[in-house]
Parts: sequence; C-alpha cells; structure tokens
Amino acid sequence: MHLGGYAFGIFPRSEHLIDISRSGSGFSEAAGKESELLIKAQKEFGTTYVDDPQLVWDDLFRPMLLTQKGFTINGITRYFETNTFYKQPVIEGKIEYAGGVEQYLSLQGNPSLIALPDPFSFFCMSKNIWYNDDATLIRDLGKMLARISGDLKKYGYKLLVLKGPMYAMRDASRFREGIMDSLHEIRDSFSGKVIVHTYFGNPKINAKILAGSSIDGVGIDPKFVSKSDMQLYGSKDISLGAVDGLNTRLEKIDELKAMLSGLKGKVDNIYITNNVDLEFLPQSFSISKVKLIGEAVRVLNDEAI
Amino acid sequence: MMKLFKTQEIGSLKKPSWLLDYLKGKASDEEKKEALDEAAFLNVKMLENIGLDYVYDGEARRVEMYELPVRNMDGFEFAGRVRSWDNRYYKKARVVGEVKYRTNYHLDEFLFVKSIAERVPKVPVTGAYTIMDWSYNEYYKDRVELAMGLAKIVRRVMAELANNGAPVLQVDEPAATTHPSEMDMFTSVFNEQVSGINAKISTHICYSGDDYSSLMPHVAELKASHFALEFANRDRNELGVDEDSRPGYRALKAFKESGKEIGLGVLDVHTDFIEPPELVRDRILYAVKVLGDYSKIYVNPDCGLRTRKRKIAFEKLKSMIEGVRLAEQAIK
Repeated sequence: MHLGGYAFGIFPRSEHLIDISRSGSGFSEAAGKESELLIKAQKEFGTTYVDDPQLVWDDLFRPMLLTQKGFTINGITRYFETNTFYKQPVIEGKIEYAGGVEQYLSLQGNPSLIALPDPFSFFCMSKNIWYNDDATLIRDLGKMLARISGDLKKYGYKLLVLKGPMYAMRDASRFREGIMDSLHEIRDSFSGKVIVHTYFGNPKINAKILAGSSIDGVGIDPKFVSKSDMQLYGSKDISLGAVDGLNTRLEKIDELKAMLSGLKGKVDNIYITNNVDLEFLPQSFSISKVKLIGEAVRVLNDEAI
Repeated sequence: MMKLFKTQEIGSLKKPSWLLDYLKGKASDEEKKEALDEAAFLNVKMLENIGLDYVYDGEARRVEMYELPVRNMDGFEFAGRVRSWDNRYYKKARVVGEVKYRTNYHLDEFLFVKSIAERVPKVPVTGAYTIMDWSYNEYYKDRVELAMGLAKIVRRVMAELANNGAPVLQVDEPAATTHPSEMDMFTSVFNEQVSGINAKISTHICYSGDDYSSLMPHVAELKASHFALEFANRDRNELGVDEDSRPGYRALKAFKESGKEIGLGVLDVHTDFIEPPELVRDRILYAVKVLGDYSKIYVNPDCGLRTRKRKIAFEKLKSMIEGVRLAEQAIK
C-alpha cells in the first residue's frame, strides 16, 4: 500500500488578510503573498501534493460564476450544516466556457493541487431557470469544468480535487450517464490525477457511479464511512479525510494510524487528507492540521503502515 | 381602534456611527458608559415612537450575539475569525475546559431598559444549542454534553433576568435547524435551559434552510409559548392573500396544530426594500387565514435589523406598523 497525504480546498485567510479584505484596498497583492507562504509551508511539511490555497475565492463557485457564461449570482445559502454561507449559482442561460479562471489561481509558488466543484454537486446546489433537461445541464457543466481543467493542466497542477458533497446526500442514479460522461471529460482534459472528495455523509448510495467512472480516487470522511464501505470503490485511490476541518482539536498520529488499520492489502493508494475545506478553522489551526498530515505520512511510512 | 396584533422587534439594530467612533476614541470608561446608555435610550424610544408593543435597546451594548456570552463564561478561548460569507467573519471560540457561569452578561442592560421603557421589554438571549454549535469542542465527550453544560449557564442568566422583572425572554437559536438529525437533542437542551424560569419564553429561529420542516414536529414539545420566525425572506413581494402569492409562509400550516403564538416575520432584513404597508397587511391576512386565530399572531421583522442602515430599519418598522393597522381595519 502506498501512503501519501495532502490538504485540499479553500484555506482560511489570516487575521491580517481578513482585515485587508474588509478595508477594500490591496487585497489581491496581500492574498498573493500569503498564498505563497501557505504553499511554501506545505512544501516544508512534506505533503504529497501542494494545495492552491484559493484565498481570493469567496466560495467554491464564485470564480466560475464571475467568468463563465450562463450564470448569475443569487443570495446567500447555508453550506450544508456549517455556519458558513455561499452565494447560490443561478443558471439563466446556456453554460459555456469563457476562460478567465486563471486570474483566481495562486501560480507563484507552483502549487500542484487545486479543488473545483464536481459537476453533480454544482448541479444540485444551483438554481436552474433555463434548462428544461437536467441531463443536458449536467453535461454542459461537465464540459465547462473540463475546459477549465484543461487550462489548469497548463499551469502545472497535478491533482484535481472535485468537491462532491452531494454524492453523500442524494441518489445520483437518475443522472448516471451525464455524470459519468462529465467526469470522463474532465479526467481526459486534465490528464493528471482526479479525485472526487465526498463529505458530510456516506456516498455509498452512489458508490457504483464513482467506482465505474474515470476518476482516479474517492475522498471519504471516516466519521461517516465504515472500513468495509471504503472498499466499494474497487481499485480507486482512497483519500481518507481523517483530519477534521471542522474542529480545532488536533488529531494524534496514533488516531490516524487506527483509522488506516485494516486497509493494508485492500487499497493500493491511500492519502491522509482533511475531510472538508480548512476554511472552517482559523488559519493558525489549519496550518497545524496540514503539518500533522505531513508528519503522519512520514511517521506512518517509516512504520511501514 | 382596538389593536388586534402585538408588534415587536427581534433584537439588534445597527450601532450609530457616532457611538462606534466614540468607543474607539480616547473617552474615559465613564464617558463610554454614558454614550452606551444614550444609544440604548435612543433605540428604546425610537422603537416605542414607531409604535412597537415589545421593545429592547437594539442590543446597543452587545459586541455580537455569540461573542458576548462566550466572553463571559469560563471554559472558552477565542480561536480566531471564521468566514460567514464573502468578507464577513465572526469570532469563533474553542471549548478547552468545563464551561461555567462567570457573570450575568445581560442583567445591567436589562435593568437600564426596564428603567426607561414604557412598553414591555423583551430580552434576547443567545441559546445554549447555538453557542455549542458555533464553538469548537475540544473538551467535552460530545455535543450533547457541551450543550447541556451551556444550558445550565443560560438558564441561570435567564432566571436572574426573570427574578429582576424581565417579563419576556427571547431565546435566540439560529442554529436550531442546522442539523436536522439533532432536533431531539435540540429540544432536550432547549427545555433544560428554560426549565423553572418565571417569565414568558419566546424563541427566535431563522434561516433554517428547510422551510422549518425539521422544526415543526418539535414545536409542541418545546417549552416556549411563542415562536418568532422568519418568512418574508422567502416570500414574493406582490400583493395577495392566496397561497400562490405567499410562498414564503407555507410553514404556517404545519405550525397551526401547535396552538402556540407565532411571531410573524414580515420584513426581509437582508434588503433595503421597504415593504409597503399593503404587502405587510397581506402577509398578516394570509397568516390569519391559515391559523384562524389572530390573537396568536404577533408581527415582527424576520430577524434583527442590524445589517440595515438605521434610516432603512426605521422606515421598514414604520411601514410594518402601518401594515398592521391596515390588516386590523380589513379584519374589522
């Protein structure tokens, strides 16, 4: 079994950057500098992939809504069971790729991982007032995300995380073909590794779709998924969200080791990751969590876990 | 003309800019206290002059609904700020030890309001479940244990308020319906924190995300006689008292069976749109149609108005009172 580790998703801003974001001037420059520091820190901690901290992303959808065709932005909606809100995408026209997402990337420092919304979750969390046919809508979202993924490839990203919490919430079987095609197109276009991260529940109901798709791995939250359910994804990589992005309490390496036990020989590639974006923690705590991921990988590999 | 509907505010108003400037400046502690008294006085009198039956001080002295209680309890350490949305953040604390009562963080403000109010004072108090949900738990075995620990503190705060003459306590629980699977636990915690309190218990729950579908089965069991809820945020702005015109108020049907009082949210606090009195009237008349008993209907904004400029809040509340009078005329 190969063991790696990475943090994914939107990082929290520092207290200093929060103050700047609220003052209205110099934010982009300050966010760029802070992103570089966060990227450097991950490299020092030795995580397998280095996350683009996405500090200028106001939520997981916003850069797409501001740059691609077919969207407007609605009022705030609660992000699942957190006390953080996102602005809901409203689909008011045909969705088409229009470029421009590169302005939201933290290219200085050369991160190797970036997270985008998965097409099924994007569909479920949007308000559609234009498409008559949901399958077409999912395919168009997939095409747009595939084109964006193609751009990301050019900038050197090696791992694309697709944030797919809705796989743990809703039966996707009705949209199976559209989802499979979209994931295939994204995987094809990105050409690096693609892992769909599910969280806030057990994606068991959609395991066949995820296992049968072209993606390389599935991210799961061990709070919700038993070890036997982790084996529903065939030969896919498993990203174990053992590090809790919703609580400041720092996990112990022995706890992570216990979560991994029993998976040896059953999963080829396993990564220790956070379960949800780290932006639900203040920045200093999120950095400790990333450091822990790096340490855990080193220690547990030494112990030949 | 006899009033049919009681009216109320939910709690917070935007702090006057002069107060913020003053508090940041070099004034002495005594001068700052005077400024806070003055802001509280002006808020109470503004709400009374608009015509509200239940009033408070616009939470003029409170830093924020979560931060204030946490600052006044043992067992917490502030961790830092976490995003609410976009560039808006709130301070979040870690529970690192046993949570304990330290001081009554509302008593002085209530005594001041009581000394000046000519209408009924209603004290907003942040509920235990919400404080638990918005904190990081590093100490307690689970969420229930932490929430029950907090419930004991909130109960003591409320008991002291009641013993000092607070006639109505509004338990603010915006996190209540955030975790639908925990509604049984929420109900136990809520009932624990209000048990034995000698005052009318109201609760305010907003932005549930599920149109209150997880709350409604528990309304009868919750030991609150009054539920101030948010509806206007999800409603249309066209006039009408039929079901299609009032999609934001669908949850009322399920509420009817409880027989409890409703605090009907008729003002959307997230927009500067001033709801015309006729729209307020129709929202109330629809509620009367669904609930049947107008004596159980109080009228209020969806939530605290602190996100709106003071002038906008004033205009919205004024329009709300005019709408209430129109509804009363229509019924008579």
